Amino acid sequence: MKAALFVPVRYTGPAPAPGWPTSTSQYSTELGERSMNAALNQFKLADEVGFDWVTVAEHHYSPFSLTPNPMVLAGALTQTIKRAKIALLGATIPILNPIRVAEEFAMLDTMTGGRIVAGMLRGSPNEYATYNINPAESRERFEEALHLIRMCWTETEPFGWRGRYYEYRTVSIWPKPVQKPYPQIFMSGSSPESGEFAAKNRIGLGLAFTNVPLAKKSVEVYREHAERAGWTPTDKDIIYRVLFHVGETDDQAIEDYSAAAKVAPRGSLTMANKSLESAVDSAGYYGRDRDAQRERLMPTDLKQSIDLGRVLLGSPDTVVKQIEHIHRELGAGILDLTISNDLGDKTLRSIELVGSKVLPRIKGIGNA
Amino acid sequence: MSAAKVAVLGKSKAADLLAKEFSAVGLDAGSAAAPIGVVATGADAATALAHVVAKPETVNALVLIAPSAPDKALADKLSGVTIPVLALFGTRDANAQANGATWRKALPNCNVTFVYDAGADLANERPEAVAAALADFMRQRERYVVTDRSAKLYP
Repeated sequence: MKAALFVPVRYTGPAPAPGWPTSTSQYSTELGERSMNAALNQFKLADEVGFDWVTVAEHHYSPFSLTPNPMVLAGALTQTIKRAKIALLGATIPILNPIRVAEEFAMLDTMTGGRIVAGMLRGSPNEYATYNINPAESRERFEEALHLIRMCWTETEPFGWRGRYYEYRTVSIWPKPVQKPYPQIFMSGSSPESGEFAAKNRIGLGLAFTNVPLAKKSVEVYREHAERAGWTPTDKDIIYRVLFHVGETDDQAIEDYSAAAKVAPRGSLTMANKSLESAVDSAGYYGRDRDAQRERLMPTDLKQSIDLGRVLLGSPDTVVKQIEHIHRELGAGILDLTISNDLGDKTLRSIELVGSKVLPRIKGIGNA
Repeated sequence: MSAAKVAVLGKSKAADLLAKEFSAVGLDAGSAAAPIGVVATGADAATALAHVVAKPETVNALVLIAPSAPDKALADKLSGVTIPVLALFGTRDANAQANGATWRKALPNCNVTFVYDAGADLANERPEAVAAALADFMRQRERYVVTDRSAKLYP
């Protein structure tokens, strides 16, 4: 198995009562800067201790994440991450200009000599309010934008595009991706619709904001549709994102993690705004498997989170066992290990422990 | 400078929409003094191109919709066709990008546009998108790369 370090770049200072969007009345520029620098250090350490990937993502209007444009952060990482791949998981393509996304990915792939992983997501439902995009059109926009981005990467002569949502009279992007024909693409495939689309289009499956039992169903849908489309996904095609904190002992890890969760409300996304959530639900955002799709966004307490495989928590030994369980259940080859709350030196130690005591023991699992 | 008169070879839903904006004429209606626009689909592309090769001064804009590949006799004559051409291909046609490349090579002034989520019958599958591409090209010709449609939301 391979492991990525995902730092959402949470704002490390006090924030107003949870809600989305979140007021910036108490925002401190100094803490914003400090949060960003802490993340850069965590990424750098992950690269040094042997993580295979580092991951950045896109979220807006909340202390939950300070990376509304993950491309900017990835640009900085191209200069400090010497070995690991840089994964964007991802760009929320239905709310962006797809040509711009294609250009930015190509720039990053050039700046890293071909070490970019191109995640393209519909994003969490709240993001549709960010740039005033109708969530009812999310899936159609996603599919069109993805097709257009791939054409930007592969077409070598200027071309025009007449889509349903996008129109460009002439396109010819420079630079082109280093990886040919283009970087590996992942999309979020928690819903059956997305899993089916990913399988039909031979796109990697990313599972986030979910849990092992729900993810298992998603993987089954993906595998089934891939077989129908004439191919068999391997471990390399499946990413499972999970929160983590590793300590010297189980007790220490749990104590530190719980203490941080108590003092640091970081805000949340869709579920923090009931009217927004209700509106995106009415717009059909969740698709035909609505109940499970809503359920996976609901908060769970720590014990439930551990049992459901939403968080890896404990000593290296315990975490290795949890990872083995995830691999048995899902066949996922890439773990996107997510820092929930920044615990300063304890988080750095957690990253080191993964590097020295977890990664060597999971390397041989599966074929990723 | 708009091409008010357009000859459309073949029927399609896109051609019907185009008829609302331009007056439909026969292929021979153009002259050096008043050249016309021409739209041709599939195999009709060969007819339209043969006409342009014979009477280049009578046509000032040509749109080819999913044109069939030119035969050798015709292809040899196309390097002299200098009028602006727009070739449209549907993205569900697996050969769209390859066909686009073939036509760019054959015609010195060929612009390629892909119509998303349509196959070779794009003029009936996505008539609004095809008609808009046709209208823009007939109205603006090579200047179509700069849109003249307003995106202002509220005055």
